[in-house]
Amino acid sequence: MNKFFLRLLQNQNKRHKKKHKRHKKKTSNFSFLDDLLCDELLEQILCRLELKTVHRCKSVCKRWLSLVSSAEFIDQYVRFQQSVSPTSSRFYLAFELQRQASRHSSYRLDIGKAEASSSSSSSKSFDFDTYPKHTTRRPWVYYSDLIGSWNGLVLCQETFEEFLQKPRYSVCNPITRDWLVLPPYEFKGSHQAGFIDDDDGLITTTRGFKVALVEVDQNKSGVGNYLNISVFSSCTGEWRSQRVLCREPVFFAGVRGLFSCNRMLYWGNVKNPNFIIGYDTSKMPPPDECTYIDLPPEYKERERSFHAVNDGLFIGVSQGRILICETLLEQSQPLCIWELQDCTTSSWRLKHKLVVDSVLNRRIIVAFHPIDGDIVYLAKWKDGIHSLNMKNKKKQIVENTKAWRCAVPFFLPWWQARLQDQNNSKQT
Amino acid sequence: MSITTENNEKMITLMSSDGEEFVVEEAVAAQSQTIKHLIEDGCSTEGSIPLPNVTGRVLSEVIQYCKKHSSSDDKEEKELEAWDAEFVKAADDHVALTDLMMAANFLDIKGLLDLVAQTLANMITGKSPEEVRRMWNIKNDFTPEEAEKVRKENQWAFE
Repeated sequence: MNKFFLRLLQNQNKRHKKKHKRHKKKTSNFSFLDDLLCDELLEQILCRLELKTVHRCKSVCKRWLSLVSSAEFIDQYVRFQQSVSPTSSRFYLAFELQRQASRHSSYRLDIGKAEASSSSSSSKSFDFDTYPKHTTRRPWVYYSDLIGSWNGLVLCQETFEEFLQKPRYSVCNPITRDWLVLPPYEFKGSHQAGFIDDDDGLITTTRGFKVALVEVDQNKSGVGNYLNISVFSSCTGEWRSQRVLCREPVFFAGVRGLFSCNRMLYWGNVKNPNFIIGYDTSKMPPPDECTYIDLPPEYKERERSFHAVNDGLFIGVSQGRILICETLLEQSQPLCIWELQDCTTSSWRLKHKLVVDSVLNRRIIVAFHPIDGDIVYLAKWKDGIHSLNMKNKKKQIVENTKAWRCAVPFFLPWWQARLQDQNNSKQT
Repeated sequence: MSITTENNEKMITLMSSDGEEFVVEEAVAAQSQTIKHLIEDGCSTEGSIPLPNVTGRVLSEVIQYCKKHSSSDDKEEKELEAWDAEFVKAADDHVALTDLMMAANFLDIKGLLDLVAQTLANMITGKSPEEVRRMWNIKNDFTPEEAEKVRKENQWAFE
């Protein structure tokens, strides 16, 4: 007789006792679920619930609260949800819709499904106010822009009428509608901000976020050789700055010019469109110099810039790599997408080359699909947003709103990201 | 005790906690990983296999499930799904389903465990915490202050 069988028999007595207990309880208003279902089985049930329902279940009783709050459960929940809803189904484009005519009124962000396949028409779009709950909606909030997203969080820039040069940054979780206004930053010059993306940024669940701010340490002409690179970490709740030398003067324009993947930051220099500047935020101590990545030879020595739509270049991230292409589609020219292979040697690979359909003529690239490297998103003012598969040339309308202002790839994580570290929650 | 039927199918005897005996084909019983391991180790030759924490009522349901799933092949997936749906419906209520889930866990029948867990999850979906408590007969052990705090922290989930 094997050991297992013996154990089975030995357990028999114990289990019988348990059964008796249950029977006794049955007569006196027993709580059978708590009594009988072990945590493991309860977890099996709760893992299958929708995110909102799981969080509602925290209110059932203390046992359920502690179970659902545990890191082990969150891990198990995410693993289960990943097995039933693949990563690609969690991708959205976050659209910022045109604000209403009156600048005093609030406006909303709509996060619409941006699936390339038509099969998933179960579009879950949700919208949220761009104002933090705790902010009284006063007319002095002048401008708000969607800058980027990471792990289900979005970064917004709010500019106040009386301090145009001193915007405020806020991070919002559009699902829980929680806002965190980042601590004030002493701006000295023009700047760009964005989330720092770590290597597995798409699947992280409970880790904190980091926002980077690259600022020109400005001289009088508005152009500088020194940069202040500051990183806000939700774990510490504060900004940490590093002064960094750049080999030529830097000037920024626009708001969505900072990109990140694998904890590297990338941005273009408006004054010199021959290379992309990179900065490694993973190194300790923080480096005091930038790295420079030459553009693909095709783009060199041509009059273009990183911000002007008509002759500009679009930088984005897909599958953890930097991609670059011309911003504007012209019927006469094929759309070429280059992928950065190695930033130390500035080697690029031509990933796609496609002569586009005349329907898509004069559209601009607004985003790359972060998971499917073949899909790009194209838009035209007052004409909605299309997805285009560069391999099979399939194009599809993903959003027909005419009043979009920008589109930012948005990944909906299986478990909602926290805005603040628990140790740091007093600093609200 | 192992008996062999006319078509040479080996039979296994299972005994429930309340002493009820079930004679089933080995292939049916082997849907349970727990029983499969016991058979592999030769335990089934020494008499009936006692299943100390599965009652006869639950065991007969489990066997019903195993029979269906050992006789169907992959082609009949749709039909099997429909059968599963009827099966959990027939299990009546969450009390019976909970018993079934524990049996599936003990006997290690993954398909049945998944099926029952999903059914119970569907029952919770759309219910308020009060309704879940009533359904499962769970005592609300929060103080009003604690309840308010948890509710406030998860307000978004109630909107």
